[in-house]
Amino acid sequence: MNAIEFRKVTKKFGGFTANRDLSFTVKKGSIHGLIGENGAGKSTAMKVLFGIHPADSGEILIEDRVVRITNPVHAMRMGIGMVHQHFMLAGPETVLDNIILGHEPGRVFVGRARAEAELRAIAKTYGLDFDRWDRPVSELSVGEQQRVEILKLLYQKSKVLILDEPTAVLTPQEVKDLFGNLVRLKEEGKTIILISHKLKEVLGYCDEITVIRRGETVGSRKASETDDSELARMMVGRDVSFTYQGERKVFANMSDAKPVVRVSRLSITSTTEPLREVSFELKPGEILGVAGVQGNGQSTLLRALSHPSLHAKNWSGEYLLNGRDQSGSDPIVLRNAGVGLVPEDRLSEGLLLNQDMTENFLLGQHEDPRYSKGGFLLRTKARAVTESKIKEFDIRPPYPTVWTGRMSGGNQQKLVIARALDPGPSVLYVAHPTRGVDVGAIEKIHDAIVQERNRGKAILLFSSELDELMDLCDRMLVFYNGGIRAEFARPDFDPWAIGRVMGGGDR
Amino acid sequence: MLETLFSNWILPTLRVSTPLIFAALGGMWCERSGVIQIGLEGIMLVGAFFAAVVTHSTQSPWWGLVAGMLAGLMLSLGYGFTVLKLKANQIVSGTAFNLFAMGIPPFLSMIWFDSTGSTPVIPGESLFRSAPLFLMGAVVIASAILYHHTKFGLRIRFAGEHPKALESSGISVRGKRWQGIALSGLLAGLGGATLSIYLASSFSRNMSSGRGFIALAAVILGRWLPLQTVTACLLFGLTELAQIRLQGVVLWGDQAVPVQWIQILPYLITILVLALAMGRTRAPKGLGGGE
Amino acid sequence: MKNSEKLRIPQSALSFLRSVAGAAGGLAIGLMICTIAGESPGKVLTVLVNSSFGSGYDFGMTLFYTSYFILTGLAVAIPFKSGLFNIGGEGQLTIGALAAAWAGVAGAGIESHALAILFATLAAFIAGGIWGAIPGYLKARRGSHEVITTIMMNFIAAGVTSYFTLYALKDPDSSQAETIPLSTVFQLKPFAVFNGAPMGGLIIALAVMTCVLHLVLRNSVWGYRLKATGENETAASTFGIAAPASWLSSMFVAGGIAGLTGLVEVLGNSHRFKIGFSSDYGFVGIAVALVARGNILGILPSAFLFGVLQKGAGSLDLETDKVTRDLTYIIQGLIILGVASDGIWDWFSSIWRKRNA
Repeated sequence: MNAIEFRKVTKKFGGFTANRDLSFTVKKGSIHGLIGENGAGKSTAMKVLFGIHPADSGEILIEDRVVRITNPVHAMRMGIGMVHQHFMLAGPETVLDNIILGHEPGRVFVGRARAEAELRAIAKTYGLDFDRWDRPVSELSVGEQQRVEILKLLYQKSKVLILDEPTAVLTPQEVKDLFGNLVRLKEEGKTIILISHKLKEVLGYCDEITVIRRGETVGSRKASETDDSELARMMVGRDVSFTYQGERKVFANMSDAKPVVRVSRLSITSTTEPLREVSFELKPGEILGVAGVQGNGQSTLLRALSHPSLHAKNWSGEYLLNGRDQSGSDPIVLRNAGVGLVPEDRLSEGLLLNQDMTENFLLGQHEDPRYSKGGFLLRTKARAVTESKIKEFDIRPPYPTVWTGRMSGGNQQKLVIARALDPGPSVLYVAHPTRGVDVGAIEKIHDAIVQERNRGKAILLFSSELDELMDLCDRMLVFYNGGIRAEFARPDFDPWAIGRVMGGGDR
Repeated sequence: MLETLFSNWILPTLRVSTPLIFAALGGMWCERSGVIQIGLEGIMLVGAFFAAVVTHSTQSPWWGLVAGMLAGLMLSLGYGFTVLKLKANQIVSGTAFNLFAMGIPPFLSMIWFDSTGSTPVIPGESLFRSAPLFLMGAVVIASAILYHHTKFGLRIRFAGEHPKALESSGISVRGKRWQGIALSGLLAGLGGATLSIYLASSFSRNMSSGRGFIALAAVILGRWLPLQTVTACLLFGLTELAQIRLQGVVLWGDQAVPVQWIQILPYLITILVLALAMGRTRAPKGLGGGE
Repeated sequence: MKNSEKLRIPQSALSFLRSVAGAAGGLAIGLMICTIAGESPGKVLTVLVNSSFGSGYDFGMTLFYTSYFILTGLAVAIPFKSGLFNIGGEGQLTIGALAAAWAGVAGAGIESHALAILFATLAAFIAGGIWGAIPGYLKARRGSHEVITTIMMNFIAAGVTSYFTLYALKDPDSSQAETIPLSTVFQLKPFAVFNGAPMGGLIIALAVMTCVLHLVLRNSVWGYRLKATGENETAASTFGIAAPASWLSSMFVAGGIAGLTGLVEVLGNSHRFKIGFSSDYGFVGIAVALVARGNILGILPSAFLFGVLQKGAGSLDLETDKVTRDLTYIIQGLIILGVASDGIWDWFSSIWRKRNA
């Protein structure tokens, strides 16, 4: 029997078609992978199923009967449950209360004793090792919180569990535990849909895999009858994954060059994502990649390098920029010392969304003598330069008065990069330059980064896309548990070896 | 010794704390549901006024109590309409309701009693003796039980802490917020009523004189928890009592303690606690936000 | 309680119209409420207008109240830019006024008029500024919510000023709660056209100050910092604009400006500090800033509107039987609601659509 079937489901947002004639079936009691690149339409498909965005046309069948799902509550009653990427858990409340919310056994009172007994039985049935019902959720690790989310679905008697990118925030050990749990759930008769873009995971644990590209179904394969290269081809739509085609200038005597950035034994503890004894050098004319599973110290490193004064209290180690100590500097000082910054999340850290491009172009440059004089801004000048950047980077719509909040991700990112390059920095800290960016813009952004390298700039590139790093970098540092676990150099980028190190193993 | 302590300090403290405790618990429920309640002051004022008016005309403090609660409820529902339906900023709208409420007693007292903001004195036999004290005890216990042990309490907490989680479990966040707002109106109205027909014998101009804000401060100091909030109210009640008791008392030197210094104590304490206990006075996460 | 997001006010022409319509609606409802008291709204409106513009004296008084509201409106609008909601105008203005009265006592030896005014201005600005900066500091360093701390600071200001008025600066010759009167060098001269209304060149100075502030906030690096912090604290900090500095400076300036009320009241009007001189002018500032949609220049007409209301309401006591000046509270509250409930337009249109569906 099929647990879920999509028949020619189409979902549009304005003029944009997120899902077009999407069709696939999920067998009951199986783990089904739904894979595709960022923005391919996987999450939209699941939101359609979960009733968050009802479909515009097409049919959805649950256990072979056509249904119309118009809201999440409706979906839940039909036995569909979803673990969102951002957990729906209230930190200060207990595990038990979070799980039973909305489905409390009592009439007036909560009925915690009954609920707990019931939950213990559920946990036992599905082999979920869990025994911390009265702890506040905020005290749990991310992996445990995810288990709470799964328990919530089981408590609501969900038959189909949708997990949206469940491993993005987990440590490798937690990933292993999660899949162990999922297999057990399958054995007990539950159906699991796994949204992912990690081929290795879906190949390892799914029974069947459906590939989505640009909102359409490319095809479904049994995991036992396919391999990663076929899936990759289906996902990307061509034989090899996208690689940078431009010229890479070869610099002579790289090993003799003086490093622009020298970091030695940099530690930042007492934070949620600590950094432990990190040392490296960054030379002009190279792109040094920073790889690792999210949460292994990369974010802290970027923040430390771009805003050292914020971490002054628990800073230890040395940070030299062109030979000068920067361990207490603020972003303006660093910028004057030649640092350009493309922050991790352009929406929350990079842009003023309700301001136009000129105002955004001024952010961080507001004290540059080219754009301000005697405490007042030279807006006319700033606007003229913004206009020239719009042309140079092909930013659309091409008007400096457009609010950045109304621009697409790719164009926003181009503006952020244009701003970072404007003062002619000698070193660039670039994080996730193509995250949430449309394919067309990716090429331009990659080109801009490599051009800067060819001009002799030193670039530190943070990315969660291994392909991107392998494509652009000269060297790569792999982070694990707050430290550098291994270093790889072009052309010896072996994705499997890097992946092993990212997971805490050896190359 | 114990008896004088009780009759000189404990009982009077409980008495002056009564309006604060009602209002603060109302504020706690409202803020727990995710809606900022700056308007406690105005609700108390209107509740005090209508309680005095109705007690005066019916000679029954119980009807006065009901009238105070209903008046508070009406005002809070108006507030709910602007912030939940019309999406007005909660702080701005709350401030507006406070101003609005300040105008109501003088406006109506002019029509009814030809006075600018006071009501005729109610004879002693028509006033409460100690009933509000027991009512207050009951409301405190009920609030604590509701908060910790009932579905209602659990859901209202989630409405303020993580509205999306509540919504995704199939329960209307807006419904819970309406309930929280209504409770704040009923309880703060009740608190106001005890000001005019329990602690005093008529309504006088601007009678609440900042108690609504003190109640709000108590909610914050009590970290949005029922018993802690009540404790903070008792502390503020004690300072209010001390202010009365220390009038003209010479503690050191040859000057009496200026009553102003005691007057500002609750506010000073609130600021100090807010400043010192950083991170520990964590408000509900969804407070002031959308659904 | 993150209100920086909510305080962001779109300033398109449409939103300006909505703001005016909202204020007019609030005023209209307020006037209609008068029918409960048996007065016709038309008559009340006539009283309001006549009393505000009827004579040189009346107009002078209207401008006198306007000058209060320019100051308290600015005290709300400036921190708005950096994402803070200053409900503390009331406390800042009483402290500023007290400081002006203190300046008159402390600077009793000053003989030059200009020097005396300068001294009192500085005292009022700095005292109000510090009173505003305290919540700014607590927000910046300790994360304490400014709405709560400014409310508390209002009450503390009331206690502090009443202490000084009753003890340290008490006028021994007066039975009222008021401070020692200022010597004539400290007094501002009113214009003769206003027939004795306490209003002179100050209103011009305040209008000029507002225009200057408008230009400074729009074009200076400081103004940019405030705006960036108010828009997106994290992004601003990532690019070297520290939110604490923005908060502290905007609250200091706001408090200082509210404190300048000391010039209007103490130097210009009663020539001493009287307890309770402000009938919640600080709170009216919220309404003023709101009707102006946070636009600095818009504060001028908005303050004038509330000045008319304040002056006009004073005559209600005499000119009508059952409506008193307290009606202003009701009208002010309704005007704020009218402007703040921007969602009413969406609500109307959704009802309209439902009905036509």
